[in-house]
Amino acid sequence: MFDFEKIDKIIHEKGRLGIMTLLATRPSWSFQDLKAQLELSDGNLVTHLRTLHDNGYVAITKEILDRPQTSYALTAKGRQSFQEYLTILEQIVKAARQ
Amino acid sequence: MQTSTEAEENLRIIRSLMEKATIYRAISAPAALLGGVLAIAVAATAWWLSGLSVTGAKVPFLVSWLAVLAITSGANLWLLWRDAVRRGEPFASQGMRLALRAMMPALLAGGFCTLIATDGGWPLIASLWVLLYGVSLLAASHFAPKSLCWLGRVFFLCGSLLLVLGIWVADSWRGTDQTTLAHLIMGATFGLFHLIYAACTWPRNTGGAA
Repeated sequence: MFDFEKIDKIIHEKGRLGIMTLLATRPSWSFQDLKAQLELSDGNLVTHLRTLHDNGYVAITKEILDRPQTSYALTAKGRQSFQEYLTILEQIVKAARQ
Repeated sequence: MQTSTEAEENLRIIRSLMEKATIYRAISAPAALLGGVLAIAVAATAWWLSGLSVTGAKVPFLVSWLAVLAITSGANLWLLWRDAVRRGEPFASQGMRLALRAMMPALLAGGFCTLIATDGGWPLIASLWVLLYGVSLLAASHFAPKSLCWLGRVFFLCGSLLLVLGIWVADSWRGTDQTTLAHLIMGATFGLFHLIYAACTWPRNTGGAA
């Protein structure tokens, strides 16, 4: 029997899962690009990013180019947690098929 | 409680988002605008010169369109590089490699078709270029934004029609200036379609994939 308690509850939410997935595809994402891809409201996106940041999964970089821009990236801990989360999902699917 | 259905749904979401994130815009709107303007300018100049009836006053077909290709491709590469730097991605990203791998066979076929060109055969070459350019864009449609897929469809349809039309009306057009006709085909397709593409994608270019 699979131990469902192993699932990372921080990642296991649709909005945060989307953020973690996108952050895993590129070195960094701007707030606007994340918002455009995920179609989340500013408030929702900020809340999810803050949760991920508070848990050490996401690093935030603020810089001023031609205008102030905030970019987000996965930390080493975040990347490892995401990989573990994926492994657990695959194990669940495999267990159900056997 | 987590079920296998939920796990499968989450894996589907992850796969779908990762595919969306690798969508690659191989032609930037400003480069399309530049290419469109240059193509129409070359075609218009060729048409204007053909009306002057001055001996030797012709726009050479191959040289002029290779120049348009070189300038537009150079500008496109520079814009893609700048965009990659802005996003913190490598220039030769996975998306670019996928796009090049998919588009290259049809683009090379277009180049090889040029080798069969003989004097007076430029309208056929122009039609083949239009068709094969459409095929190359359609080959990248799995990871291209919708606007590029539409551009590919329009080029493919137009190239096919031009080839069919060329067979039907070849005899009646035998007396016309074939080089000017080829210039006009290029201006009406590569010029006009790229201008429309630039106009449609320009406002949304900074956001997601349009």
